[in-house]
Amino acid sequence: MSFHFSDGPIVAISTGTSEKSALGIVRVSGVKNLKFLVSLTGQSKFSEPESHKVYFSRFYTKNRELLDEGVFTYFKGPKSFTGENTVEFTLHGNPFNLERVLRYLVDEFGFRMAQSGEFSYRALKNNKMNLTQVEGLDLILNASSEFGLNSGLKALNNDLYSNYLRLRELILEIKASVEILIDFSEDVGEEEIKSKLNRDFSQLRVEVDKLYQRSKGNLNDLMAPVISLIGATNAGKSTLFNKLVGHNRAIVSDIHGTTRDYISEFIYLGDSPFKLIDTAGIREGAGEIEKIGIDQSIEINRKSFFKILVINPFSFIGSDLEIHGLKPDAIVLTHSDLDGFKDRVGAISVQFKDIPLFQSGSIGADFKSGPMGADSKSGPMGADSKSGPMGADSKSGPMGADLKSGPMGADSESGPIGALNDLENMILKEYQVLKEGSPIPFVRHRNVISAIYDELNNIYSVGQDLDDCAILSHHVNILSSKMDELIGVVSPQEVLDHIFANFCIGK
Amino acid sequence: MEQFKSFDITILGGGHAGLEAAWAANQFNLSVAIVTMPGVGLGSAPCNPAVGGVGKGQVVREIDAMGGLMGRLADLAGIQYRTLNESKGYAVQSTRVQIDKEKYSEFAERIIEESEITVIREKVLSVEKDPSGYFCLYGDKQNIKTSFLIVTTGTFLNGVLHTGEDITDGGRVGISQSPGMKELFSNIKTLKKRFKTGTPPRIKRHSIDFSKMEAQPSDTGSLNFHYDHSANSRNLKQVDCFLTRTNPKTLGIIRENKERSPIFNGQIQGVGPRYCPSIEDKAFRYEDRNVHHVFVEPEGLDIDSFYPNGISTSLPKEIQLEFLRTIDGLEKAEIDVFGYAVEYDVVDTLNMKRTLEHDSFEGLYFAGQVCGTSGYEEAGGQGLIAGFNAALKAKGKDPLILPRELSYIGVMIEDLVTNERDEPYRLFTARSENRLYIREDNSIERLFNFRESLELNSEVDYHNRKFIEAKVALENLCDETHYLPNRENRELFENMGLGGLKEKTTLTEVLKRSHIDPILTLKRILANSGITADDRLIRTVAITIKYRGYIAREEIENASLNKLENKTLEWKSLLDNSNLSFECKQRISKIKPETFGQLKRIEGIRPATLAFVASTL
Repeated sequence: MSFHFSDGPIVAISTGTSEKSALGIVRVSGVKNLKFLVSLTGQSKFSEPESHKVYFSRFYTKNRELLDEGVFTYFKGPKSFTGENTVEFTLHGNPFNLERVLRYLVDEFGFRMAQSGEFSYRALKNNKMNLTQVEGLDLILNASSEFGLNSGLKALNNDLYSNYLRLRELILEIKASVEILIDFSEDVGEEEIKSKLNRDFSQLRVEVDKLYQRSKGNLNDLMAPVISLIGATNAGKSTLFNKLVGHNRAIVSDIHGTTRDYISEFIYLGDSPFKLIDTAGIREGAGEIEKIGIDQSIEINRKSFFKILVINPFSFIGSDLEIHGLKPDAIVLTHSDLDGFKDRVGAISVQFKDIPLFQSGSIGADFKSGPMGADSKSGPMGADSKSGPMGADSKSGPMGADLKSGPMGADSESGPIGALNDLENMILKEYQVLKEGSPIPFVRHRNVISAIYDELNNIYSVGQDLDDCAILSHHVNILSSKMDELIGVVSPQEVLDHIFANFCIGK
Repeated sequence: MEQFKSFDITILGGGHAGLEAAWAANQFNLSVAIVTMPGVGLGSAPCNPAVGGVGKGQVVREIDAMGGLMGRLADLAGIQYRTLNESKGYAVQSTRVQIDKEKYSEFAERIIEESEITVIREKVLSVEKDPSGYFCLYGDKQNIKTSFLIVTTGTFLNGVLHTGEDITDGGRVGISQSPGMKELFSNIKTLKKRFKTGTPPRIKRHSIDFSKMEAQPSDTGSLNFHYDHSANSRNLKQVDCFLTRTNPKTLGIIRENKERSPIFNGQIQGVGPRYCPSIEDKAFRYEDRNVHHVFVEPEGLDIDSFYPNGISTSLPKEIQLEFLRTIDGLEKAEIDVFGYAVEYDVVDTLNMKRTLEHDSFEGLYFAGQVCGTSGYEEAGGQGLIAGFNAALKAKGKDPLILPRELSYIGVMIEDLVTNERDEPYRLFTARSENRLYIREDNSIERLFNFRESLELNSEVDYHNRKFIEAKVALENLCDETHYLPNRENRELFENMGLGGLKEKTTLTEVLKRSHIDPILTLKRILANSGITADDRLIRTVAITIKYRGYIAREEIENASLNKLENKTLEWKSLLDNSNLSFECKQRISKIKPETFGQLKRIEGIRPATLAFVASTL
């Protein structure tokens, strides 16, 4: 993909068009003058509207047929998102209405339909944003996790970029020292330059290490954390799924619209959206077609941020999870309200002694009536994260040593079993751990940072050859061009294409 | 009736650029003349008496591989050799030769005299152009008519000398200036700024106490520049250079006299080279430093004066003497010639092609210091290119353009014609992106195809071919020779300090090992096998092998960048883009970049502009 860069006006619907909504925005960028606005409103005063001011008007075709009524704002370049003269129309949100206006603007005034990402592209081109900011914007528009959204905002505010600029400065310093050593060592004291070089290199190493640490965590888990339910057929997965979804009422639905043989739904834990997936039940002796579903379940589980094994203690005969190489993060025992539940738990908790256990009733045993109580403030297993109620702290065992006196603990040989609230807290806490140390959210950055990290290690491993300034400078040049790549000083075509291809039209 | 002498190619100026231009052009069986100021020897060295240096040694060897003159003259007149950066890696090692400046000029005179080049010793007063070529008027009704004119007038165009408050016209001390560029070429654009350069006072030999200085003897291992001189032979007797230093007293005197320094009191407007600062620059720009190196260099075997390198100055005479006498070994210094600064006109090289021909005047070329460069080597490199290209054009052949990836001459010329000069241009290795490859040792390999393309079939071509054949053969030998891990070989490795031998290893792999000296090792191994080879051959093969991996890696790293680098672009269409900054557009319209690489190298182009242009290519 590549853009053609006529500087002419472009137009697009900038709000979502999949569903009807009260309002929708049509945006025009790159107009030299506002003749079209005069024609559209039939009012000559709009040949020079004030910038950044909202006007109400009706909009007509040139035959005086009413198109719509609404408000528009003129952003005079360069004080606009794209840096060009821009007009934004806020109209009635019916997709048909927006389409009709769009088509009229294209047919009547010769505006070009914007390609995906073209508004942002113009902003980049006109120095309104740098590459990292564009990537941040991409995240804000497309993120499906709290982390993604927040990191996008930070990137847009140049947090990461200024970090990179500092690092680039340091590399330039090093580069300069090496050049002085080669070309001007007769003029400058050699010892002085060498000790500066050593200092700068140590600092570089520290800084790059920091960035490298920030690029290590699993990005998929951060950006679109998946909680998966796995278990034998009839273990009670669907019931559990419905309980979790019901309790957490996510507003969004699965916007990616992937075809799937499994059921998924977004749920909120705290402020973070998670994708909950109910996978096909695993059982022995399944038919060919069913096996495909099972393989898929295993695959989903493997990639999940949090894996929940669902077990019906009344029909549990053993686990073949080892065969599939799956290690659950938690186990939910269903049918906890049935008689004999406690007797069954013992054997299971022995088999999974390192994995935290939770329980769920077969019917109606919702969060409020659960043994741990919904009122988290008063419950010993409550949401008070300071005391680490769910024992993510692995030293103290899965449920935490301090829980022996909990309502479930004292009389149960098999150890404490948490309620679903506790399960949710555990998931949230693990997610927060993952977010610690502000991980870098862009795959492109991570790849470059990891290449810089490798190159730096490479430099240190060459050892003696570094007395050869030409070789040293060769390595430093590689570092420096990678740094330029990171900042986007010279971006290979693919990088830009990739970035802009991910945008929805109209941004 | 006017009389005139007619030539195919005429060179104005007999300095280092002029000599190379004439010598190059003369290889094409054309009539060639040098017009030079009366009283100035050909190839004279008015500044420091040395040829080569970091980056510059590479240029001298490039000139030599192309059949030029400078390396040959430097060897003939060399009185002290040094290999600079000896401990800093082979790619950045450079040869520098102190020359006997009188002998250098004498050899130049003799070689030119023995050639078919005509030398006219007159001061040119005006230049005129008509459709058939150029007329140079130098005396009463005496004219030269020439199809091609190469201007290598150095600092002589509108030259003005400064020593303290004394201001005199002249291109250098004791020699008058040429008319200004504007009088000679009314339509040639010069830079608004004039450039400035300077020299230190020369000191009489008997007044120096060498015992207080550090002697630097000539390095017997340094290799001659010229292919036809055996590797380490020396034509003249070798002598020492000396190192001493300034001290707080020295700098104190200079600082007390700021208002009498033409550079700092406004008397000199011209811009000097940052890379070759005067002692006044050092005193005022680095106020916390008082110790600077001073290299005391002989100007010749029989010349009574020494050149104190590092303290060029235009201070008044009495102050020059005063600060000089604070320096160790110079307490009783007597000055032969006082230091001075010269301001001169510089042609705007942005109006020139890569052949050094002027954009708007066909057949008119410029080379050397008049193009805003400093240094004999830079001048020589340009002279060679201008001379060859004028001759090629006269013969109706394709131009000679050396690419920047393969030569320092190419780096320099591209920098000159694509970047605005705001100070004298000096070559150094950092200007090249391909430093690991463009080295002294492989100049023949780098330029072989370009010399061949001239189709001259002379002695240098014969030598180049032989050298390349031998190089390929020796490289193959290293690739094919291998050592099995037996006891005999292990002992050999131990004795030679080559490290362990655990598996079958080729000689090439051995030479790449990081702790060994590849040149010495290859030399010894060949000697053990009874193979004799020229030191220069061994050197280039050993270094080529040593760097092979790095160069391959660099090529890969640069591949995507180079793809972009060489992409052509329409600079005019960038000017229509309403949102590029005014400043960027201004620079683009001035430099007229034809490729992305050229755009990238323009100073002050914003990253966002680059990212934008990159994505449109």
